[in-house]
Amino acid sequence: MKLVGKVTRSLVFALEPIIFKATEEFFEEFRKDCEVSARSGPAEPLANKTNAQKNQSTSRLTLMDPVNLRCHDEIAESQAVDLVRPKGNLRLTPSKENVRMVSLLLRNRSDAIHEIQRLFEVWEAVLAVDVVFLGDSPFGNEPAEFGQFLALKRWNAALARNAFLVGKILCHKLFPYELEVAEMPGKFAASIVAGKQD
Amino acid sequence: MQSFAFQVVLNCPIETVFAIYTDSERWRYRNLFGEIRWAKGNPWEEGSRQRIETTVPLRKTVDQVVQGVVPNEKVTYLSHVHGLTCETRITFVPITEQNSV
Repeated sequence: MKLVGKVTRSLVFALEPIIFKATEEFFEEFRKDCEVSARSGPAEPLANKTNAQKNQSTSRLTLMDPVNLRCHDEIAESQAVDLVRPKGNLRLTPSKENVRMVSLLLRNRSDAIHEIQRLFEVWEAVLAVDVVFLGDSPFGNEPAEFGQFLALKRWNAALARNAFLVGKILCHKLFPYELEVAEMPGKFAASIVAGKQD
Repeated sequence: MQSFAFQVVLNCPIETVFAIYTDSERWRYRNLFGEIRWAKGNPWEEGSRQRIETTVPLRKTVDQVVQGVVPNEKVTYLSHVHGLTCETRITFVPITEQNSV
């Protein structure tokens, strides 16, 4: 309510010169109309006149009766300002727009909603699909991380030519002489990893 | 509460001034106004409502409620716009030797 009051007061101060200027312009036009009508005769509502009569101007002078026209405007704070009401904001979601005050004892339970929401946040599970390849690491690591990311792409496997995993050989027993593999010289083992079987 | 007052001296019969002021048809689509129509009740009766579309300085619809009309003497109405209420009191005073400045 304080916010609404302050905005209303600010709006009153902002609108006052606008209303003042508009009223001034209105009375200037009004004065001209009165002077024209005083020259042309008693005023009759325009709705009762035909178009020809509306445009007719006569030079007949009538008896001048000066009139002191006084106007007094007072602006009061009476309603909530439209600009701060929920409908004044077009981007509010329905849940935000439908916020209402909770009265009496029920107001003490209003924060329970947030506590329940927080409970779910604590028990939120981190799944494998939540893992991201590009994190918030410094920019200096970006090229290295980008390379790692590309290494997981299948279409880049051709760069490795005929390389295969040693573990595949050992587990699936492609070689019948499994014991000999363990005793292979270092050079032969390295060439298998590189994909060159001598 | 803000308030301001205007005073205009016109060389015109008071009946003419009152008739011009209360002639809504005259003010339609003039410089300051757009559409003007009576939304409720008969024109210039207590409790009647008038919708006035302003064009200058802001394009807004002002809802006016007539509070009282004394022919050739006084017009009072409330205007609602932007959540604000503006009370306007117009008095038509014939200038005589007694009240002339």
